[in-house]
Amino acid sequence: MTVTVPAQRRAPLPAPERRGRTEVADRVVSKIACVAAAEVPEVRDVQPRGLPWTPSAGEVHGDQAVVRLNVSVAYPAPLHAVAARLREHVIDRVAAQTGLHVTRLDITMTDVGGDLP
Amino acid sequence: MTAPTPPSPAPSPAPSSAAGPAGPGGEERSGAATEARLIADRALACRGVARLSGGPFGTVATYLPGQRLTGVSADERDVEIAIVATLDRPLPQTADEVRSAVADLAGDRPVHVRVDDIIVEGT
Amino acid sequence: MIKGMNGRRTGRGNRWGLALVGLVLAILGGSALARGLGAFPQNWAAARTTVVDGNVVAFFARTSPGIWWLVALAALVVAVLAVRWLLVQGRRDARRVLRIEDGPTGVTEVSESGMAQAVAADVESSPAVFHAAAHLVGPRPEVRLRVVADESAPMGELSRHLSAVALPHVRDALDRDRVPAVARVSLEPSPSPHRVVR
Repeated sequence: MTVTVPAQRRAPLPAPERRGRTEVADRVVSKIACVAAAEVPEVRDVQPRGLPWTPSAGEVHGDQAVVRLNVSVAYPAPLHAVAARLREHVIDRVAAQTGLHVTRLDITMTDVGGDLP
Repeated sequence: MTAPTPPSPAPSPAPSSAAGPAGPGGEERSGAATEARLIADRALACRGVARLSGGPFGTVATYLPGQRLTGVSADERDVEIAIVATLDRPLPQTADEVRSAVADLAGDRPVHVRVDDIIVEGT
Repeated sequence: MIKGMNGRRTGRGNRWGLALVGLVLAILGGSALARGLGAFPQNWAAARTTVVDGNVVAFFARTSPGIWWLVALAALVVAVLAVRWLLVQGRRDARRVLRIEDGPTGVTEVSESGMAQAVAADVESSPAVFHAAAHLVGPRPEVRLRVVADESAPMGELSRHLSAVALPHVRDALDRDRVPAVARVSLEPSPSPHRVVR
């Protein structure tokens, strides 16, 4: 069976309260956060750190999100500065891509070592 | 959520013209099936939409005669679309494009768009 | 180091405990099978009779209620052992971390063993060092080093490397002005094919 798509008339969006929700799944936030974290130069590897019941690093509540990451960081590197850069970058990227505000980003540096890039 | 549809004549785009043995109820359901298909096709045509998704538990779906249309669920109260997106552009923009693409089909009903997953290059 | 010892002890406890439980279950299962197949003297435990026969009922009736207190005590002991076992598993799996930051926007933690490995590798980068092991002891991190050094290398080289390279790196990484460090150095002769690295 074939269905032809009728010419699309782009109707203007209805008023925001009539428009319907846009939801972003936890794993979407998790993936975006991991990609963003890996972009920080001193970060050598990123793993989402899920809770026991989910492998996803992100948790979305309304328009806010909480993210937990396990990273491995090069050494010697100032770990506080790396963490601050990580936090800023991940929060910016998640906000730009999803419109969600990351209120909390927990970082565990599970592995330290390896040369700086 | 649309109830499972019993086998009925092939749905046609205009529900009013579908005269079949299934009676008025069947007409309505085949109209809903057509609508779900149209919504799915229009959503898929939007930039940034890679495919449709069933939602976290595969619950976003419409049951059509002999098959299951994953990713769209429309009833008289609202329209729900679950997508797998690409990261070409911000997800709210993709969601809004989907919403406006199906706006005339949705009419007064709110269109909920759920970004269920994304495709990241290199993974 | 303490963690490693705990891990080994836990592992040994697990092996003994599992072996004991397995042995008890194997004996019970084996005797049930033997009884069913008629391997026991038939005038003592006949294959075709119920396990809980008149004698067993009579035994419990005779010793009641004292026997039930014993059963309850045994169950309690098993429960305590089981809970303790669970807690020990948790202790072994708990990764020790150093919390270096705790703000409203999230916490930052460093794995102590990860950091220790990095420090050890850094110390080992000196040509005077054959082998190094490091441990971090929190919460105000303190570095404990065990270094196996080349006895023929200039004496100053090792201390220079520690005080000018390795320890400043630790201070920079943890963003602390002072990180106490203790190094135990053992000297060994230059590499020979038979050198044993401990």
